[in-house]
Order: sequence, then structure tokens, then C-alpha cells
Amino acid sequence: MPRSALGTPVETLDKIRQVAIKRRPPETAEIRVCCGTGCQARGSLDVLEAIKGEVQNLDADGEKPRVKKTGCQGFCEMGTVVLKTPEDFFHCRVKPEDAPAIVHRGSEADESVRKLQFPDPATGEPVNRMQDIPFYRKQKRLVLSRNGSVDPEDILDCIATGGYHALASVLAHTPPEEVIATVEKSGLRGRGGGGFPTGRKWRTCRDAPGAKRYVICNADEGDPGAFMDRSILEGAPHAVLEGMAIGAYAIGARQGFIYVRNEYPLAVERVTLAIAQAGEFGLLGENILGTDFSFSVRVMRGGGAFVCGESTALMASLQGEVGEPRTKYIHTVKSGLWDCPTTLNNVETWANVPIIFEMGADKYASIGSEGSKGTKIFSVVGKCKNTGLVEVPMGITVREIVEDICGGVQNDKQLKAVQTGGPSGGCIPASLADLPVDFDSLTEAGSMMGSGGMIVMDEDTCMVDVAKYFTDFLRKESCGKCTPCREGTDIMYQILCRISKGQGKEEDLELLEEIGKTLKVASLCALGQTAANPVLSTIRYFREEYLQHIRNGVCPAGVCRELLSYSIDPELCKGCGKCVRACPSEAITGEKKKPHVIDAEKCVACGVCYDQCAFNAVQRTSPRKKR
Amino acid sequence: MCFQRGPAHESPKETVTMITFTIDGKSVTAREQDNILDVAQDNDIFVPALCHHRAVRSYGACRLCLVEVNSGTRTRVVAACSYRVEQGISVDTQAPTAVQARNVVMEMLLARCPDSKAVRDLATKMGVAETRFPKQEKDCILCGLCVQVCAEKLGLATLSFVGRGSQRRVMVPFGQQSQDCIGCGACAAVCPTGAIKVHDQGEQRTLSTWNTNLPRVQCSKCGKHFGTVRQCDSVTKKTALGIDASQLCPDCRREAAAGSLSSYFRSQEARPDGRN
Repeated sequence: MPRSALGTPVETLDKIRQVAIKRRPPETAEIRVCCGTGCQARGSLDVLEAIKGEVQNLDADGEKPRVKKTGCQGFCEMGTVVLKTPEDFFHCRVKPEDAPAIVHRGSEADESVRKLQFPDPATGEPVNRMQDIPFYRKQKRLVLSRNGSVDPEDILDCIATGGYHALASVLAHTPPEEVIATVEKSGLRGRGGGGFPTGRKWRTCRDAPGAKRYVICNADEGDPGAFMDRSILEGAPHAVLEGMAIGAYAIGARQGFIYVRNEYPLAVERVTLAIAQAGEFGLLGENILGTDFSFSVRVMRGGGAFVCGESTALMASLQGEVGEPRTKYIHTVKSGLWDCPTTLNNVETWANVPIIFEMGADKYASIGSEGSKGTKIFSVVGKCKNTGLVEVPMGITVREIVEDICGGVQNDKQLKAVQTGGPSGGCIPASLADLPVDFDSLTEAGSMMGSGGMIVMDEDTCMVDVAKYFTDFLRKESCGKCTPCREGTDIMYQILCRISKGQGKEEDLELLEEIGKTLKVASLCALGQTAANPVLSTIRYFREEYLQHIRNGVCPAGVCRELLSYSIDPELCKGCGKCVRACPSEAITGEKKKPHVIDAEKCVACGVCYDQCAFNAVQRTSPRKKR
Repeated sequence: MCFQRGPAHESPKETVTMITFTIDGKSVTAREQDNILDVAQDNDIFVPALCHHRAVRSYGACRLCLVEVNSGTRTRVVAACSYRVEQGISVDTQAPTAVQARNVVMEMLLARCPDSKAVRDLATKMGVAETRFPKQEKDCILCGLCVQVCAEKLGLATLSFVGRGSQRRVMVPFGQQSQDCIGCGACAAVCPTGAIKVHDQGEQRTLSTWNTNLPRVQCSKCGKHFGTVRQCDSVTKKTALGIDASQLCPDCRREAAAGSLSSYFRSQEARPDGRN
């Protein structure tokens, strides 16, 4: 067992922990203010200051609660979120002026905080505790648990609550071989999209010949609507560092990199601070916790190219080259960064590593489904009632996430599809809502797990338009290196544009499928290989909708502008003039308090009048009426 | 090096390990660092390719050289130019999935550069007569050979890719007169489609594709203009023979060399013992 002058690594950490606990007695009540990016945008820093001020003014005799800023609590829809312990009172939509009510809140039924309590969607009754809110009740928050309870800017707070314990015990008792065996046993698979078994990746990297080895944390989260990696880095940076240190120890690396996109300033700031603090306490750097294991981490900021989330492109960018992928017939675990064996894992994967060692591989493997173990964080956005970050055990159904956790579709509309896996994922139709969410079943359904983006779509969503949107994103983010991805995404986009204008042909669908198959087979990297998923999955499940556009010039969802026309029902129109003022092309005329008329010649079918009308008098029809 | 691509070439070993495998049922032997495409071409087996050149590392961009590889445990379509040979694999250059995919890729290139002779000829050879995709009027297929040759062979890295997706193109920094280009024209020589224009007129060499004009040197003997000043300086420096490459044009240099050689031999003949 490695021993230093201070004792074993566990003893060394324990000494730091005792200091931390003394400074922050666990029995002290806490007021935790969410300071994730979402809540900060809603003014949580002002709330924090107001609460701090209020606490300062408390009488000196009673013990004052500790006011703490935490990472993202997940319920971004309801920000700013404030939690009060030990009762776990949950407050949402908090403004600075609510500070006194929260600080002085004594009982459950305190009237002064009533407007800050979350109303139960079924009964309308205010809910007191976090765990009683449906949004949290069905979740299994392993990775995110630290997010809501620990101050991400204070390493002592993290250590006091068990941070770095997994690393210390690994360094004290577990040889690297055994660390890898444990990760293999846990069944952990990469959370960045590919779902490759993490333990196997580590083993291949450890066994690869080479003098130097590297570990990389991929924090180049680029999927539109996905923000779990950002939230982890902002809320629990030490969990990521601890995971990386365990990984580095296992594969024999001394240097790690966190490649984070520069558009995540708070994440960059917090993780940089965390690295500095961990270095101060001997948890990173030379001779970690008195052992002969040394490991340091550098933060590298990405320039904003989506493709740089691809491992080889990321490494090229890290090396200071153009961020474009290369063929991976020789894997990066054997020849990666500067041609050295390199283990690259995503933020969420690294954050799962300490959890595996804390709870044990067997227990970890008991969570989840047959081929996918543990939990997965999804960022659920779109047309559901409660958007935010959701951590669930693998194998839960799409329906459970959308209906039970996220409260179902807004305005009681019908669920049409759920798009998973980011832009190169696919659309899962409502008819497959009972599909278990794990790596294998999502791929089988023509979509993928991806990094965990989930977009809920209702009946007003046009699937041709969705395919067009994502294909447009991908054609702009394709690096352009290989022919099929560069030319193929562009050609597919042009065809989709034609279809959405009602100028498509039935053969276009076959052509789209043929291009899609070519992209899968011929593209150089995963971006191109999966770029056709939005098109292929929507054709697979919504072919009828495509045919409606092509044959009849009809957009059933009423989205594709070129296929719509607007008119005003004279029976319903009150002549309020709101639409007249809103119309950008001056197409609406009419006397005050008399039914208005839309001039089809001038109308650009933007739909602003439709959205503005308070009396549902504007009618939208498809196909477009002949002018 | 600032423009390193792909796995580094292994340093030459004392012993070369030979690999035996099959291409289209024919048993072939190759060195372990060889790629499938080179081996196929050496054995007169046709695999289409546009972005490959033996002088530089495999880049794998055009995706025309797709073939199917069976490694015993797994069958997959790979780019022959980037896949290093392995003992016992069987390569099928005519596998339907590979042929189908590369034909569609060819259609894409044909749509991109409909007027390029090299692209059209290869398409004909592949049996791709027409493209179903909208035609663009470009002459560059973005194979990257010019970028690579400038970085790897000249050590200059004057050129780079600019932009993403369909906006991607090759350019000198900021599209302005290059500070580093020596006007050697290696980029033009290696370009498969003739997209790079180098034009000599009197005292000036114009590389219009790179918005770069460079002065040429004049032969001190015949007065003819030849290479650019930078190019001659580069040769003088690289050869380090103490000979100024900008003095004489290649013709006059040859003549001068021949002259000095013959006078040398004459002087040898003049010596009775034939020794120095």
C-alpha cells in the first residue's frame, strides 16, 4: 500500500475532510440557490445576494443558515430555484424580493412562500419538498445529485460531502488492472453518443504500446438544445476531475485535457477554478495524496465547430491543427493525441466513474437495462410542460420521460414524435413511445442515444420541416473534408426544400434514401455516417406526410409556408386591427370593428396574424389557394 | 510540423515485415505499412481514387476508393487509401455495397465539377454516365493534395482549407498575396483536376488561384526568365552547395556543367599518369 509521511491516501484525504467538516458543520441548515446558467439568466445571483443580506440581518443568537450557490438543479423552466435544508423545502421562480420569506420560512404551510411553491399539476396544491414534485420523483439523480447540493466553487464543500473519496480509496487499495476490471463490470458505456464500453476502451489504451498516454474529457457539447455536460461542468467540476484522475491512474497517463467549447464561459471558469483548488490540496499535480501517482489537467477551449466533438477532430484541434476528422482504422486508444495512446471520454462518462467506485460495480450494474447500465441525463426541451435536465435509469420508456416526468405535451396537444440524439439523431414516433430508452433500442428504431438531447414535438410539428432543419444544421457544420458528407447533406437539403415548397417528386424519396445510405457507408466520420438519420427516420415513420407534401401540396401540420394560405373568417373577426398592425407586408385591410380581409397577392404566409388573433378568426389552410 | 495528418509513418525498420492477403481472390504480398489502394494498383487491380498520391500521407477525402474488407470477424466498407494492410484479410473491390456507394459519390463529384476532364474520365471508367444531382460549376474537388504537398514536401504550409461544409475551399491566408509561397507550382503539378493556374509571363509568375504574383529571375547568360526569386533562393538554401541557383537558367546550367565536365576530362587526359 502506498504510504506517505501523512499516511495512506485515504488518511490524507480524511485529514482534509475533517477540516472541511469543521468549517461547514453538516448539521447547519442550508439555503441553496441554483446558480446554473439558466437560473443565472433569470437573476439568481441577485437572489443569492438578497438571501445573504437577509441572513446577515438575522438575530445573532440563533444559528444562521449557510447560504450556498450550487450548480444546475435541472428544473430550468422554474428558475430561480432555491432549496432550504434540512426540510428540503423547494422554492421556484424566486426573485430577490422573496428573500425574507424564504429565510424566515418556518413551517410547511407558511403562507408567505405560497407563490414560490410548485403547484402539483394534478391537484393544484402547493408541493413542499423537492422529492414530492413529479419532475423529480421518477428521476434517479446520481450524477446530478452533487449538482444541487455542493458549491462548485468550493473544493472543501465538495470534500466535506465525500468528494475525492473514490480517488483516494482507488489509490490506496486498487491496482490499475483492477480499476479497469471494476469499470468493465459496471457495464458503463460512453455517454457522448457512441456508447462504447468504457472499461474496454481503457483496457485497450493501457495495453497499447507507447511511452506517453493521455486522457481527454470531451466537453465540446454542440447539439442544439443539449446542456447536460455544461451543467455537470458548472455544477460538479470536481466529479469530472476525480473521474479523470481515476481513469488516468488506470491507463497510466500523467496528463489530461478538458476540451470545452468557449461558448460555455461559466463552465470554463468553474472547471479552471476547480483544477487550481484541487492542485492546492494535492488532489491533482505531482504525487497525488502522497502517492507516486502524478496527474495534471489543462483546459483547452474549442472554437465552436460542431465537428470538433468528434474524437479525431478534437485531437487535431488540441494539437493546434485544423479541426477535422481523420480515418480511425487505427483507433485513438492506440494512436491518438500526438500519436500516443489516448482515452477520450465525455463529461458525463467521467462524472459516472467516481459513482461506480463509491457504490460498487455490482450495484451500479443493477441500475438500467440489459445492455445499458446506470443512468443517463437527458435535456428535455420542446413542447412538453416541464423542460429541463432529467436523469433517469437507462431503459425507462420515452413515455415515462415525456408524460410522467416532464408533465406531458403543452396545451394538451397530441404527442407526435420525440427527436433524440442531437441533430444526427432521429425521430421516434408517438406510436413507439413505449420504447425503452437505451443505446441499442434507440439505434434499432433508427435514432440514437447521442449525447442525450430530447426534443418533444406535438401535432403542430411538420416532419419534413424537422428533417430540413436538422439537415441544414448538419450541412453547415459538416467540415467539408469528405465528399459524401459535404455534397450529400447539401443535396439532401435542396431536395427537402423542394418538397416543403410542394415542388417535390415521388422519386425524391427514393433518391433521399439512396443518398442517406451512401452517407452511412461512405462518410469518413460519425457526423457524416449519421447525418442522414433525420431524413431516413422521418421517411421511415412519416412517409405519408412527405407524400402529402409531394402529391397534394399539403402541409398537414401547417408549417411549410409555401403550402399555406391565410384568410379571415368574417363571422369571428371583431375588427380589432391587431393583425393589421402586426402584418409585415401590409396585406390586411379593413375598417375598425368590421371584418378584415387578407390580400392573397401581398400575403407572405408568415402566420403572424394567425398567432396574434385573439378570436381565432384567422384561418390557415393547406394546400395554398390559387392566387 | 503544423499540418500533421493521420497516424505517423513508422520510421524505416531494419527488417520489413511482409503481409499476405487477398484482393478479389488474388493472393498478394505487401509491406506492413502499405495501404490497400497502393497494393491494388501495383497488382493492376482497378480501384478508383482522386485524392491519393504516393508522395504524401493518405488523406481519405474523396471516398472513391471504397472497398469491402473482411477481417475474419467483421466485414465492412473502408477507404482503401487509408486502410493499412493486415495479414489474412480479404478485400473485395467489387462488393455491391462498396460499388454502389462509390458510384453515388462519383455522381456527387460529377455534379460538383461537371467540366473537369479527370473527373469525367474516371466516371466513364467507373460506368457512371450521368449525375442526378444539380450541377455546380467548380473545378476543385477539395482532395487536399495541394495543401499536403505544400506542407509535407515543401515544408511551407502556404495553403489551407478555409470554411466549412459546402463553403469549404483552399486558400492562402486571408486570400491575399502569400508571404510564404515560393511559386514552385508543386500544388498545380499534383492537382488531379487542373484547378490551380500557374501562368508565366516575362518577369512575373502569376498563381491566380492563390492571388499571388511573384517576380522571376533572369538568366545571367541567355537572359531568359525562369523560376521565381523565392524559388531559386529556396533551392540555393536547401542544396547548400554554395551555388547560386538564380544565376543560370536550367538550360544554361546544364550547358555550363557539361562544359566544365568536358574540360575536366580533357585535363585528366593531359596527365601522363592519369591520376590527380
